[in-house]
Amino acid sequence: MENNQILSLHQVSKNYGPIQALKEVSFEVPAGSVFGVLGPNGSGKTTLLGIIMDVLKANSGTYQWFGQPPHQDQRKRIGTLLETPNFYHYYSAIRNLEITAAIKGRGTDDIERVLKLTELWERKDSKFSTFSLGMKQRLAIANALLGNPEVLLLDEPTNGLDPAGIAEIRELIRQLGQRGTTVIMASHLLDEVEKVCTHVAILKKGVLLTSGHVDQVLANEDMIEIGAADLSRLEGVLSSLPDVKSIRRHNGSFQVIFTEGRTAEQLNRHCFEQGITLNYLAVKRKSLEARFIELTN
Amino acid sequence: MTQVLKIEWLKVKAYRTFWILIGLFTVAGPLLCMAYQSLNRQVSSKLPLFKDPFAFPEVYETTAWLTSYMTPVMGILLIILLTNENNFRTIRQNIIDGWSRDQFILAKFGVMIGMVLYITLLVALTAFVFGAQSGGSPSEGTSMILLSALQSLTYLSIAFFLGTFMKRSGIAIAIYVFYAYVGEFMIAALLDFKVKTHSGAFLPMECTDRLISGGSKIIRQLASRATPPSNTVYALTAVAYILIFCYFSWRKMKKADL
Repeated sequence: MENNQILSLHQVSKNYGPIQALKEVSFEVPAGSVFGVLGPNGSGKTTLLGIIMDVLKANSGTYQWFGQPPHQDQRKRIGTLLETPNFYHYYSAIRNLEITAAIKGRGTDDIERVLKLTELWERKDSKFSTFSLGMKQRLAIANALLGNPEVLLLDEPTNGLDPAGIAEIRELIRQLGQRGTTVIMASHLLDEVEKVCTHVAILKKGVLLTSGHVDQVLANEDMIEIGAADLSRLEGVLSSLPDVKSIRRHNGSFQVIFTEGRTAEQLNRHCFEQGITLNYLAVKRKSLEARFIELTN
Repeated sequence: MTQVLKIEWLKVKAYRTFWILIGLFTVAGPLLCMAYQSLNRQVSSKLPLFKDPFAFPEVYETTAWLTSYMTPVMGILLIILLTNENNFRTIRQNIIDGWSRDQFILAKFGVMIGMVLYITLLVALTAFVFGAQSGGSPSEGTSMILLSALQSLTYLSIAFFLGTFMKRSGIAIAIYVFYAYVGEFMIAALLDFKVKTHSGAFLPMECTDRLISGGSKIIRQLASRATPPSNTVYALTAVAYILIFCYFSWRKMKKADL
């Protein structure tokens, strides 16, 4: 790798007439990360990915791939699935991949591998127009994987796939991440992202709300689950603490979030000093979904 | 350039529509010449006033003129190839996979130039075959082949413009065919007779139609009310239209969100 940052965006903005799709978005994607770009529908995820692949033009701002200003040859090193599978409908899977291989300046020797990996080898000679939605999506994934690119850019990669297909793609992304491939993935399936991503950026209405390592984005507000025989007394003790942000009753215990980083040990000691013996104590990382909903609402 | 053209070849080499339209054009041009020759011989046998249009050097203009009636078939093919890229969103995918926008535009201009070369080759071959049967000197009047190439480029640059700006191939083809066969004739006649004599010559297709008037020459001369513009003016008008259509098409592909 020429640079520690695979991709860096600086103050990227994009308007569609009066609608601001992206507003001064800046973040960096470290080499070797599995980077999730998250946001509700219409948050600007696909617009962002379209700009960095030069199919959409930003109104202002800049970006760099591999530490260099944008150039078409950089895109030959990136395997991309953007929005929908785009292929010549009158051609078979294999002919379509031959065109991609030619544009990328690669041989056709990798086509068999990627078609087998995406379980399309049996249908390699079928026209794209005869494929189901799931098969089209698989072909788009095969297209992105062609030639083992250094970077994968996947926009909603599990669209149209059945549960088994989703699990396979998740596992594939995880394996590629472990092998050092940088994966940039836009998704609204937060569970998926949480399972595979090391870094995230969260967008809402074109504004970047947060970005960074998953642990950083989620860790600043751990949640402590706590239980005791006398729940009403426990609630009174918890409520008297000055740094409590929220208390929620959940299945015979309380879920407590503190504004300061209070440890479970400190909380246990405090309760004991107040004469309460805990029968349940657990620290839970807030789910990405909870964090996402909190940030985007 | 060779590399991008090889990729364009990959896109069409097994595309049935491509081969059907190429085949139609290839067969129809010479067949139209054959039909016109038969008609002309019959008329000449009763009214032997005119020179044989299939003898050298007139045959170059005759075949160029007759083939130009079939050139819109190639225009339709060009529109289909361009609108396919928009409809299938493969223009987007080609850029994503590593082409620059300039490479994509260059590839499509290359396809258009390839078509012009093919049309010109067919005109030349047809002229040689028909001319060889009718006599005369083949080395005279060959400049008409170059003018035929200019005419084809004008016709195809209009198709290129429509194929770039129109998303739906059906509408683009309908507009193109209507304009090529009826629309421009109608506008040109109205301009000539209702606005200013010979002003119709400055329309995109009409300028080269009047440059290569072939069998319509007599009608045009009879209808003329003043000295027409020179061939240089016709040719420069055609070049101007080619540049305008190509520039706007290039600008659209270069700047637009895909």
